[in-house]
Amino acid sequence: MPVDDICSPVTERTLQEPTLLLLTALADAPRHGYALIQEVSAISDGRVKLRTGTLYGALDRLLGQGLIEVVGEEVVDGRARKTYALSGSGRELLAAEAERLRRIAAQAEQRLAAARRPAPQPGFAS
Amino acid sequence: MSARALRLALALHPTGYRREWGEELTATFTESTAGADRWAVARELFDLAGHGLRLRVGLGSAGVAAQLTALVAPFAAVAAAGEALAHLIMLPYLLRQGSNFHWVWSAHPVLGIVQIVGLLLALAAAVAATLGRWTPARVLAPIALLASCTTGLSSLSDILNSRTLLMLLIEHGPQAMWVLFLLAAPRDLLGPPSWRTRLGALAGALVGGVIIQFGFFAGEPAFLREATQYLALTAIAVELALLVAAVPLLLRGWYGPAAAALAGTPLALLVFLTVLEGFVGGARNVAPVLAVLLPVAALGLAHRLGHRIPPSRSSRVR
Repeated sequence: MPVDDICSPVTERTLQEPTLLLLTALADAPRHGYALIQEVSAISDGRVKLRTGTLYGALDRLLGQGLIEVVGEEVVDGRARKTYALSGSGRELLAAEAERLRRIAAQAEQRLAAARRPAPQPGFAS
Repeated sequence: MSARALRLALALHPTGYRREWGEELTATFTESTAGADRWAVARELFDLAGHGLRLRVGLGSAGVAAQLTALVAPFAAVAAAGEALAHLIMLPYLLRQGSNFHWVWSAHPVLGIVQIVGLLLALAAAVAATLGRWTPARVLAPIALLASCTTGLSSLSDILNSRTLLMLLIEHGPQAMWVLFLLAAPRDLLGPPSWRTRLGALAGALVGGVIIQFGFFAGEPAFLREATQYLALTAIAVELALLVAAVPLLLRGWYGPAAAALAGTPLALLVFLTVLEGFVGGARNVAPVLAVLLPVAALGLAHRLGHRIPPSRSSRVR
């Protein structure tokens, strides 16, 4: 494993799952806080349920890193609510991570298929 | 009950943050807990309160301090269990030696059992952390710490005695610090198990092993024997080297040395306290000062680092 990978900041290593899920949830459309919780749950088949504090901790960080941005604010039931969207660098980072995962998945499938192939029978060589 | 508890959880957030995000936090919390049972509401409240406290002490996810604790978390969980394991291994020895531990077992067998349960819980927390099950790890670790401290805590009347305090710091200080590191790591930065988790856990087990060596003689004035003197000197030298390297590298976006220095701090502290206990006559009076000063210094540092956005070395993230 590269030394860079050990030493580099959290933002630049392989994305942690909650971060990846949040960026994925924002990939197709801007969303507000509760919609993000629902989307993350849907994307992960209900496995990851972000709580309010955890969500806003992550949003604070992603905003600070410039990976997402606030694109709107609306008032619902008398309460102000912000809408978040992926920024240009967030989109770039998500695309790079998706490509990395795709390559790993392709390798996994290729090797599994190779293992399923029957081994050549001895004695049939001509 | 929920509205009042929500106000309390929001009150834990810094005023400026609450002004900016309070309404939105309330809206999201309300929608998330609509129709939820009391247990689910309590967990949401606990999480929200934790977010507020984190921001208050400078451990918000965006800051350097939180990101360092997230790197240290797997190490911390296993190292804390290493110390618990040391206590378990010491058990027959301590019972034979007529130590304070022996006194607890003779006078309060229930406390003795609670302590053993605590040690086992610490091991369970370490396994959970290694498997990436962070919620059970973070629930079990502090319970384990409290339970395994029962020997010291059972003599509460003696707590003002500086020797008792120093012995508590020596025996449980490192474990307590590692548990605090584990709790300080923001949940959104703790992912599923990876090579990094396993590497951290392995390092934690090794350092926990060192602690076992120390732990066998913890509390005895002749604690630093010849072999452990070298070990102690090595630990201090490594810690100092890491600290010297950490600051300039951290400013350039390299987190590894700073995280390693943070992870090793409890061990360095243990060595320092043990020297204090074993060699410096009368210096144990420093223990109460240390017990106050160290957490204050740690909080001050976390607060200072917490508001810094991590530097970036990569051209990918701008």
